[in-house]
Amino acid sequence: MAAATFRPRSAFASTGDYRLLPFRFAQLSGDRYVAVNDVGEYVSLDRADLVAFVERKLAPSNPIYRALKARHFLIDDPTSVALELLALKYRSRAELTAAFTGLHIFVVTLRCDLSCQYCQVSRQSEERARYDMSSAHADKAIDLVFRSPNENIKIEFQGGEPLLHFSMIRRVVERAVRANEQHRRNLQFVIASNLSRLDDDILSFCREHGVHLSTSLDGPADLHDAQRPSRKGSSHARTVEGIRLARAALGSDAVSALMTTTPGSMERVEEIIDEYVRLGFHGIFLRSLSPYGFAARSLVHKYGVEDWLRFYRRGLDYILQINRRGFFLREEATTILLQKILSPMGSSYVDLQSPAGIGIGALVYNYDGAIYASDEGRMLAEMGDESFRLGHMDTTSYEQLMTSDALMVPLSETMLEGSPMCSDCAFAPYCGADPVFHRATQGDFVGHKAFSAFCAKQMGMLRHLLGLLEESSGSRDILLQWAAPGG
Amino acid sequence: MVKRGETAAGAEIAGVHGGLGESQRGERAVSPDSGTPLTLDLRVYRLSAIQKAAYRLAAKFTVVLGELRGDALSVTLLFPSGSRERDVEEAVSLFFRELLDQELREKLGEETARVRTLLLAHAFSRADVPKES
Repeated sequence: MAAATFRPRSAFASTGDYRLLPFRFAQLSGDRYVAVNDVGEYVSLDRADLVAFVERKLAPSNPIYRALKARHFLIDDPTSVALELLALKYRSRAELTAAFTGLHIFVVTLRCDLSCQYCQVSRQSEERARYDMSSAHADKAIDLVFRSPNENIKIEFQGGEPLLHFSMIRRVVERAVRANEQHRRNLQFVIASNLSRLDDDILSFCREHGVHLSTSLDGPADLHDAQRPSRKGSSHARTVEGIRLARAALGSDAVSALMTTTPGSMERVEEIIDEYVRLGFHGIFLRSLSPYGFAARSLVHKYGVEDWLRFYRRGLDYILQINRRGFFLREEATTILLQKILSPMGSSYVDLQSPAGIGIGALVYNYDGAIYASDEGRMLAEMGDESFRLGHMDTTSYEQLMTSDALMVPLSETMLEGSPMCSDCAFAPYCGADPVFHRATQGDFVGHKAFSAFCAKQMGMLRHLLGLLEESSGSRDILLQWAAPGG
Repeated sequence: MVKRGETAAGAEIAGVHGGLGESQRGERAVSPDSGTPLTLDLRVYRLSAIQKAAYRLAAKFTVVLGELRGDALSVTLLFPSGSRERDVEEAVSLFFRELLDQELREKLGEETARVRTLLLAHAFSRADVPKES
């Protein structure tokens, strides 16, 4: 009776009569193109096949046809399964937005003991009263943190150098932990520090509360010290010692590091990466300069996007070589993009979201009681542009914050789905809106993307990655490992 | 305000090379006052595709949309000072390639607009919308 239950294989064969499902496309290089659908699935193909596909002349026997069908670029049967699956995947990706604000940044002090050449905000000042967060503001900020419905709450302490005001970190952690007995969220803490002030008391506290440490390491000692000078000797030596102490007290995974690319870093990417390997890191974040803050504005003009992309490609190539030799080292910016390309859930990285991650992905509670929609937003405010100041802890309710024009206008104006050039960009599912960057560089939230260094950088990185995923099986295996959960 | 000097003008655009080689002619600078006139047939490229191509390539050159006579739209490409003849010819080639891509995007968008709306409606049809308290 099996014949009555199952139809023959021929009944499922494609007839060649297909309907297109929504997708966007972009040139990779020459005649090679990539088609990407709304949930980030992609197919690389030649332009001739792309044109034939859109004109509905692509034969079912063509391997590209099967790839396009498997990844929901076409429907050639009367069932609604493909649409159901696409809707489900779209909803999964949107859940990150629905989860709401997960990252809460406490700027506990603006004081710092370093004079970094690219610094955005810090003050070389002993005026504690002027540049430290007050207890009253810290307590109000904790109340605001738990107004977010997100199940996963990360509280990140920043500065200045936040360990210069460790008593406030202690207060916030203890009070947040106590408040969480009622709210029952998955609560994490991170201190972004140069680690120069680490001592047994701080480490013991971090161990007790599972506090993670994040630091800056710009490369070998001479480069790091030139970029992050200290009046008290080598800042590199103190950071390296801090890393050693933290690992000994908290475990090998308790410290992560990131670097900032200055003109001085440009020709030294291999040395920078070697320094991370020497110190036993398994992750490195190759970061370009941001156009915010005091000195960054002049430094950022000293290399262009193409220079940075060359630095990135050369660095990534070197990191892949290191992985092939058997040492696991992951480039974090690449990993974020890979998660967006390969994972059904995308990535929760707040700087690459649409709608933008400002406010609904991250909130910043500043030392002076002001509340900003993002860390870059508060840096812009230090330069005199308060576009992303949502309110003040003394006067603004949570409802007022989250419905303020300062948040709603840039969010609604910059969604990629409605932005010129982005709305038909193949890379949109892997990219995000960055209203702060475009406000800083072009004077408006949306920006003209043909002139946008952000857009040029993202497209350059994505084109390179898609090329690696397609062309080089050795690299592909390593990249897939980075993107895997827990990779 | 667009601060052109601060950006990576055109860095994201993969150039389509016109195959002119390293000819002496290609090294000659074009006059900043002279544009490159073109006539586009709106039966081949719809206006929205022309506008999108012009927008996307704005960092390389300026496209001035001119007079419409029947289906013929006159456009002029204006180049930054210091551009060479070779740059101009490559840019014209790039503009026509972009026109073809934008026209294909318009066609694709037109054909899939309804199913995209259906898809989004379906995706969020069971979403919990917070109720007014």
